[in-house]
Amino acid sequence: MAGGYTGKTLRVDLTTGKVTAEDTLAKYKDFIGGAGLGYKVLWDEVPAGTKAWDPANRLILGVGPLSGTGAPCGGRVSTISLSPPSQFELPAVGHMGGHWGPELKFAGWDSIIIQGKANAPSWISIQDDKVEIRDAKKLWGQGIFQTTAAICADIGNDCHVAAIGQAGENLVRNACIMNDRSHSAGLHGSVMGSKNLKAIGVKGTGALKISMDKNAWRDLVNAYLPLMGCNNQGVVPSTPQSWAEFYGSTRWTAQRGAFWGRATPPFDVGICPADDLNKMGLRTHKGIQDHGFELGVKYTTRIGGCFGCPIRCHTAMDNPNLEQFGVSRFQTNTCNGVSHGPGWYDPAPTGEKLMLLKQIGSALADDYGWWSDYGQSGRDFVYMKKKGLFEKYLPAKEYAAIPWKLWEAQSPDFSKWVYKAITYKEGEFGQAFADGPEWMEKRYPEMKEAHFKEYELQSWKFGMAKHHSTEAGGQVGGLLNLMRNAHAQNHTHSNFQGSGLPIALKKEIGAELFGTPDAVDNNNDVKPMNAGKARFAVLSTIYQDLHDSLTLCNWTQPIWASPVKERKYRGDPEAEAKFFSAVTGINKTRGDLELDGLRIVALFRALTMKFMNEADMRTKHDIVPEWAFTYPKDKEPFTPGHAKMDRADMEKAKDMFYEQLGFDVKTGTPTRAMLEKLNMKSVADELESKNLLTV
Amino acid sequence: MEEKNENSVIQLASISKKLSTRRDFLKVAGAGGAGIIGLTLIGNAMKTAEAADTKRVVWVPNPTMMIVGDPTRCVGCRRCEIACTEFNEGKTQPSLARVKINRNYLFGPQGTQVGFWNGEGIYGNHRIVQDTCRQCPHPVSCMDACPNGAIEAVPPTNARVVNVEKCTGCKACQRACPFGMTTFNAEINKASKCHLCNGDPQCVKACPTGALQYVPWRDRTKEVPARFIPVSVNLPDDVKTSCVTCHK
Repeated sequence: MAGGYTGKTLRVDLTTGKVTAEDTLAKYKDFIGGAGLGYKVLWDEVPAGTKAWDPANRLILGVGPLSGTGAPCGGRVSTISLSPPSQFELPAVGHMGGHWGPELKFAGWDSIIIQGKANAPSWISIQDDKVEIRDAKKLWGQGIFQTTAAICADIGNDCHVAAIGQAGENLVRNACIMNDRSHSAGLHGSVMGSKNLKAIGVKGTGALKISMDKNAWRDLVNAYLPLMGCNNQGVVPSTPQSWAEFYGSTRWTAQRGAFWGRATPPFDVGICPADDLNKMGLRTHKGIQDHGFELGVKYTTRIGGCFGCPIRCHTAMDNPNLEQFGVSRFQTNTCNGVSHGPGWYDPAPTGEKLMLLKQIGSALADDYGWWSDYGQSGRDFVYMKKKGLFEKYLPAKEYAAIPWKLWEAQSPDFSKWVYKAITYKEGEFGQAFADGPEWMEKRYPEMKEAHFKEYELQSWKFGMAKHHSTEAGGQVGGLLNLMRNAHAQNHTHSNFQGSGLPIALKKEIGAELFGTPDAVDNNNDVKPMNAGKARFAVLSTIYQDLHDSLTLCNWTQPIWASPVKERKYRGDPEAEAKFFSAVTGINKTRGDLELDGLRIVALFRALTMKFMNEADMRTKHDIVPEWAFTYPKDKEPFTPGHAKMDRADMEKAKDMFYEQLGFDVKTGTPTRAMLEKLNMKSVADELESKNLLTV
Repeated sequence: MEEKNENSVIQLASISKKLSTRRDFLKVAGAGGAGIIGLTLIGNAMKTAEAADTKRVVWVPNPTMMIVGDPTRCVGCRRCEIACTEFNEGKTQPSLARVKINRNYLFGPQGTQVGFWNGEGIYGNHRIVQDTCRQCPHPVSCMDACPNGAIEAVPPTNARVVNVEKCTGCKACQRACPFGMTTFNAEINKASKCHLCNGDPQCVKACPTGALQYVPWRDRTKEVPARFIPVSVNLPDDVKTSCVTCHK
C-alpha cells in the first residue's frame, strides 16, 4: 500500500443517501489526486451540457498523497466542479488552505466526490469511517462562523468544517466554500447550495504512512526547509540586513520594530536570518504587506495560515473599531481576501479608513461566504458608477434607494449594505452582482466591452480577473491566463520573477531551468518572445496543476530559487519528486511528475473543449484582452517601464507555448498522439466522437 | 542487606539523589531481585518490608527539563504535532501527537461553549494555546493510575515515559491526567505520552517561530488550568500500600 494515500475515496450521493468508498489508486493513480482526480471524475461522469446547479454535476473536494503529511506545504484542498461564475459554466478548480484537507486524510479519505441533491438542507459528518448525511435545518440561513461553531459543538472542537454561508444557499454565483475562519475556495459555494449541502464536518484520528525510513524522512525535510524563503518564495529580505547579500521588494518584511502590536504582550519579530529555522514563520509580517508598516505593526496580533506550512501568510488583527459595525473586533485573512473591502470605493480610500474597510469587507464576506473574484466585482462597480451605468440599468426607485451618501462617505455601513445586497440578491443590483463579473458581460454589453478594452478593470478574458499576468514576466504571465476557466491564480512564474534576486542571478537560474537566460525579463521590461519563455510558461502551467493535485501550496513551491548564498541562491527543482517518492514509496523523477502534470493539464484542456463544445481553443477561448496591447497608450512594446504587448509577438508566444505543450498549434488543443502517449486514448476517442479533435 | 537506621532527612536526600533509576534504588534497598521494596530507613518499617511484594516505587525524581509553549508566538502550523509522530513513529497522526495544538486551534481551550467571539483560537482572539506535558512531579497522576507500573521516569531527563512492554492498553492513564496529555497508539494498542524525545525534542526544533521552548523543569502543574477533572481513579493496590511508607 502506497504511503501518503489513504487508499479510499469517499462518494456521497445526496439524492439516494448512499455513501460508498472507492479505491483511489485503482481509479485515479495516473492523475495523482486533488485537481487531477477531480478532472478525471468530471470527465468520466458528467455529460456535456450539464449545468453547474444540476444534480448530475459533481463536486469534488480533492487532496493528494502529500496533503496532511509534513511535506511542506500540504494543507490545501482543491475543489473541482462546473463553475457557476463562468459564463459558460465551464469546469474549473478552486482551492482553499486551512486544515480541512489534512483532516479528511486523517479521517481515512483521499478525496470526497459529491453528487445529486439532498431533498432538504443537509450537512455531511465524517468521523473517521463513520460518514452520515445529517439534517441541516438549524444551520441553513446561518453564516459560516456560526455554522462551524454549531458543528464543532456537535462533533468536537477539534473537527474542521468546510461550509457555505447564505451566499451559497442563495445561489450567488460567486459564493465560496470556506474552512478554518479565513480560508476560501472560490467558485463552488453555490454548487453546494444547489445540492442543499450546507457543510462537511470532518474529524480524523487516523494516521498517514510515510514510506521512507523515519530518520531519512526527517533528514529530507530538514534539508528542504532551509531552501524556503518567505511568503511567495521571496529569498531576500525586504530591507538591507547584515546577514543578507541582497535585499529587494519581497514579503520578507521581518525587521527590528516589526511588531505584532496586538499580541499579548506585543512581540517584535525582529531580524529573521535565513539560517534560523525557528524564525522562518516570522519572516513574513503579512500585516505590513496587507496594510502598510504603521497600521500593520499597530493592529496585527499574529500571522497564521495553513496546516504544515512553516511560512505564515494570513494576517490576524485586532481592531476594536470593528465592533460598532456588528462584527468581531478580531478579523483575519490575507491579500485580496482583505483588499476587496475598499474596492467598491472611488477615489481609493486611504489611511486607517482603508484598513477598516478591508477588515469589514473580510468580516462580512467570510461569513456570508462570498468571493470577490479577485477584486473584479469591486472594479466593475466603480466603473459602472463612473460611467453612469447604474442610472441606466437600475429601475429609478431602486437606484434612488441605494445609500449613495454612505458610499461617498466611504462608510463601513455602505460595505454592510453592498455585501448584504449581493448575498440576498436584492434588486437588479443584487442580482447582477450576485451573478458576478463574467455574467455581467451577458447582462450589460458595456461591461463586456470594458472588460476587454479597459486596463483599469484588470480583467483578462470573459470577465475573469487577471492574476497574475503580463506584469509578471510579460508573455509568460499572459500565456498562463489563457487556458484557465477562472482567474488564473498562478504564482509559479510570479514567485520566481519576484524572488528579489538581482536580474543577473535570475537570468542565470532561468537559463538552468528554461534553457536560456532570455527566458527571464525584469518585470515591466518585456523583451521579444523566445523558446525559453515558452518553456517557463509551460512549466508554470504544469506546476500549478501538479501542485493542486499533490497537493502543495503554489505560493511556496516550486523552490526554484533559495535564500542560501552557499548554493548560489539555487533552489531544488527536484523537491516535489523527492517528497512524492519518499512519502508514497512510488519512485518518480522530476520528469515523471512533470509528465503527470502535463497529463492533468491536457485532461483539463479536453474538459474545457467538451463543455464549451469548441475545437478552436486558440481563437475562441485563449483570448488576450485588447488592453494588453493598448495600455499604456503612449508607450511602445519592448520599451522599459510597462508591460504593453505586441500582437504579432503574442501570436508567436501562443505558437511556441502550444508547441512545447505538445498541442496542435493552430487550435491550441491536445493531439491524439499526445493524448495516447499520456495514456488517455479514451479521451482522444471521445473528443473525436464529438468532432473536437483536430489532429 | 544494608540497613540504614538513621531517620535522617539529609541521608534520605542523598540516597534519593543517587536513585535515578529504579534499578539503583533496588540495589540500595537490597532487593533480591523479585519483589518491590518500599523506601524504608526506619527500623520499624523494615517489618512491613516483608509484606512488600505488593508495594511499588511511586516516588520519582523531578524531571530536569520540559517543553513550554508561548501562545503569543504560536501560529497554528502544527509542525510540532507533525514532527512528534513523523520523527518518532514514521507516520503522521495528530491524534497521537504528544504536543497538542489542534484541539485548541479553532475555539481555544474552552471550546465552543463560551461563544466563539469571546474565546480564544482562530474564531476568537487569535490566541492558539499549546498543550504540553507538564512532566508532573511526584505524585505523577498518569504513573500512579497505571495498574502495571508502565509509566517510568527515564534518565537523563526523567521524563515520564510509557514502557510499551508493560503497557496493556487499559487507558487508565488517559482518564487520570488532568491536562489530557496522554495519547493512545491504536495501531499497537499502547498508551503514549511526551518523552521529550529522550532529550532532543523534535517539536521544539520544528517550531518555525520558537513558540515551543525546551527549558529547565519547574513545577507548573498548579499554574496551568486543568483541562478536566479526572474521574476518581482507584489507585492500584501496589501504589496505595506504598504511599503510607512515606506519608504517615
